[in-house]
Amino acid sequence: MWGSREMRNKVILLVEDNPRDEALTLRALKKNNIANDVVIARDGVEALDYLFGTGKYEGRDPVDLPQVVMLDLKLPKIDGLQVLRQLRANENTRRLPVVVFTSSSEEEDMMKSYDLGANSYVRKPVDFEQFSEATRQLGMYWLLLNEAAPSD
Amino acid sequence: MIVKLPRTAFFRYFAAILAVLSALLVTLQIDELRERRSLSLFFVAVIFATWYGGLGPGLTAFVLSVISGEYVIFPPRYSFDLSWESAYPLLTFIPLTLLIVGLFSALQFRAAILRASEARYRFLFDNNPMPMWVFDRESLYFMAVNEAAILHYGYSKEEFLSMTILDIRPKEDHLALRADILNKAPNAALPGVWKHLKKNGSAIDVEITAHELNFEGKTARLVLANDITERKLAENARRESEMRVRAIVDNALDGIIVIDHEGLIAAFNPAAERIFGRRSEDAIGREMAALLIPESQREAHRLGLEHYCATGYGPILGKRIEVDAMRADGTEFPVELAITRIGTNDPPTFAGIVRDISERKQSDERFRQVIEGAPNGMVMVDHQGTIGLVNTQIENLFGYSRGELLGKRIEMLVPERYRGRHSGFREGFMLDPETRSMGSGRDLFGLRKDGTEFPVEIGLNPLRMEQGMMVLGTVVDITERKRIEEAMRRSQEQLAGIIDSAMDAIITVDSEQHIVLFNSAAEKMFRYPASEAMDQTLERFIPEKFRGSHHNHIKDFGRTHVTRRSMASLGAIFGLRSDGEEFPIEASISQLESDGQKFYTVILRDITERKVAEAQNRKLHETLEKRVVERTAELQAANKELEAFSYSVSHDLRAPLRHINGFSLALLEEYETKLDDTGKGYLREVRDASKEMAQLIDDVLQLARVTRSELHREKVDLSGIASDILDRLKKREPDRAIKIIVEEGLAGYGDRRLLAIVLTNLLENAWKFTEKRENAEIVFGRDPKKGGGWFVRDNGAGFDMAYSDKLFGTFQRLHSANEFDGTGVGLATVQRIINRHGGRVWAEGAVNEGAVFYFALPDVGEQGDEE
Repeated sequence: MWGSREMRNKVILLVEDNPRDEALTLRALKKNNIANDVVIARDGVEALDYLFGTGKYEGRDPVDLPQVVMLDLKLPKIDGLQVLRQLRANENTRRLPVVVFTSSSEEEDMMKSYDLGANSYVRKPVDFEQFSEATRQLGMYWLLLNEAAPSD
Repeated sequence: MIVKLPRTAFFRYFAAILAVLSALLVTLQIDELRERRSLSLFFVAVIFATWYGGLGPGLTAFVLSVISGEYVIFPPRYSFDLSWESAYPLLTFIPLTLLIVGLFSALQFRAAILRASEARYRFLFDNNPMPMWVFDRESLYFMAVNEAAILHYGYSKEEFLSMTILDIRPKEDHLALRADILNKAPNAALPGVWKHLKKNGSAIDVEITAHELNFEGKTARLVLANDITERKLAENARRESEMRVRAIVDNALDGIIVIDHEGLIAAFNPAAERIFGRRSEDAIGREMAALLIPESQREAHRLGLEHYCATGYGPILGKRIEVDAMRADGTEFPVELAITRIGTNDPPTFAGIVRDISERKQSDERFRQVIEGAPNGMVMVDHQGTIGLVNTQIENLFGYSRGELLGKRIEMLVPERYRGRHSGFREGFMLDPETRSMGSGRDLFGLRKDGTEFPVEIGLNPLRMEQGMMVLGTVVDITERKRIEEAMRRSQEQLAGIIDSAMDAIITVDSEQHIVLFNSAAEKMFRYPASEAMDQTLERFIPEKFRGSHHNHIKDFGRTHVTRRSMASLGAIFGLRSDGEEFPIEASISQLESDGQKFYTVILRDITERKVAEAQNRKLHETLEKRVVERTAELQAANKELEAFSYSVSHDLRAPLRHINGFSLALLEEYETKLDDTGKGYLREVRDASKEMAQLIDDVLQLARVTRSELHREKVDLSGIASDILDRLKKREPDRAIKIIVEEGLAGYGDRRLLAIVLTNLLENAWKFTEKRENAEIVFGRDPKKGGGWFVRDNGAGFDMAYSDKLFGTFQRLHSANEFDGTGVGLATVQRIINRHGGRVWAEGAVNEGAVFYFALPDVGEQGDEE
């Protein structure tokens, strides 16, 4: 759809363990017409599996990376920061845009996230309207504006 | 004649008779033969008798011869009848015989006289007390010697007669002797002093008087030898003595002048030359009075001399007097003079010994000045205790004038009760004088003129002066000193009292660690009597194992110049009681130097009990510490839990809220048509409630975080932060018409983040509470009057000052939720933050008239954390 860019289905990897949050996020995305494919990973393992094409997603081509990862921090099994670390350690996913999207307002979390290479840190507002707006903006930015590093 | 018949009278007469008889006999014989009767043989006999016997026997012989002749020879034989025949030969015989007898007698007489004279001379020669001899001038042999020579020289007569005079002379004189003999005129007396040698080899000096004569046919010398050895010795001695005297006189330091009865100078020694500045040749012969005595005193001298010569009364003779003398240049000077009469000759001669005492006078004067100027009283007494000299201080001390003291006994200055003993002591001192203080061990007192007494200290100095042994006493009024001593003694008593009553043990030792002070507390502590402790060293009271290091510590301490210090730094110190019990002590040590000696004083406290208490304390402390550690661990654990909790809260509590909000909205949006207003209203409330809760959570979290976090102080641009916050608020609600004033350049010192929170809270409050105001105004500034603090002012709803104390309480609100939103946590947070900075926050306001919130931070350097 955008010029010279390869026609790829822009995928958002949403790493979110809470189904309600998942539901609301999806709703917000839909509301804002960001109808990309949203892949849900419900915990850190799933997220890594998807990105690396392992485990549950065995067989998936890891080259085919999502446009952006929206990563919650509080996840069962492997938590968000761990995921981030592993992502950044992996050659393939090193440059993958990651937005830490979390309810935590802890400065420490923010610091750690940035330290580990998160591209952005956004707090989930309680107010859904705000939440929705935030989602829209995120979507707009990361999906449309931002130019991700090309993956070979 | 060879035959040596004694020529006594008997023999002489006998010989005469015999001769006559012989002649008679022979004549008779002859006459028988011849006719002629002659008396010729009788003539011979008479001659013989006269020759042999002298005049008496000669005459006797004559008479006998005549008688014999007449009687026997001449006829008539054998009768005394005279015939002409017999008469004629007799007449011839008689005169002839008489003549011969006379001649012979005369000859003999002369010879006898000569012989007698010779004998006399011989006698004188032989018995001369002086050695005499005669020697042959040519052969030099002795021809005769007298007894004296024999005795004196030791040779016998025979030896002498076989010697020459050379033999009694030392060899070296021989030549001179010969020359002398040969050259001198024959009759000249030859006096001379020669050395002779006695037989025993000793040499004597002999004065020779010699006379030339003929002796026994030879040219000889008669010599009188006078042994003058002794005389010579005496002369030598006398000469030497003279020389000695000369030397003494010449070398004397004092001038020695001899004058005669007229006062003329006869001798003037070199010292006198020096003293008077005159040469002796200029002085001798001149009148002494005119030359050496000042004009004013000349007449007196002359009169005195005259008086003495006339009366023999000379009071100044043999005494030393001081007079004035006059030098050659006319200057007068004081001299000491002693005049004696020399010998007993009349007219008298005098010798004067003169000493220039100008210097002595000067030094006397200086001495006097010193005495006079001395700050102490000085009094000089002689061996009898008579005062010879006092100074002004004595006058002042005793209240007497000089005149009242001089010449009096020293005892007048001594209180009556001591006088007797004092003179005794004085005499004792004279026997064994030495410089010392008087009356050691006794208190001495002086007696003033007015009868009052005062304590004194007296020093005694024996001085050997010309007047004899004098004693110079120094008198010091020690009233003041005694007073001070008394005060000191009292204060020492007090001190001793203090030391003894002290509760702590006080022990003083000298540099050898010998105990010199051991108070009663020490006695109790060590259970040792002080009297015994005095002999001990400190080590007795230190457990053995500590003795060595203790000794070193004292030494080290002694080397420092620190006056005192606690011995706590030395670690545990222990004492040793008399029963062997060791006990812990606390000690402090001080040092002082007195008289070049170091003394150390230790003050000890038996801290056995305290140590026990300390041990208990420590245990308690340990227990507490343990408990504290446990508590802290607990607290830390709690804190950690709290952190985890907040973390949870921040994440997990919000999530459901989000969901509530989200789904409510979804409901609102998607089922709008199916809901009536009430329903929508309800949903809206639900959503609002969830939002509120979210805010509350945030605020509480913030408060908690604020309490926990560390303060990083730095200079913070408050104006900047305020502006940012207000900008943000404006952006959020762009529609609000509100006047904002932010004073520029305001800065504070504190934690940036926390101060931002403060400003956020305050400004958001102001924003909130001016919502309903038409011409809302928010000011951020600084009011120096208000304790240098900053303020946020608004003209909003304000608050009732009556409830101001609740303003900063957690969850306290002064407005209902209807009026304004708010969790009631914001101001609590502000207060918490400001308090942690050590600052102050307060507010003023009035209902509907706005509010001002002040906060002040301590200056840099003053700040202290709540932590």
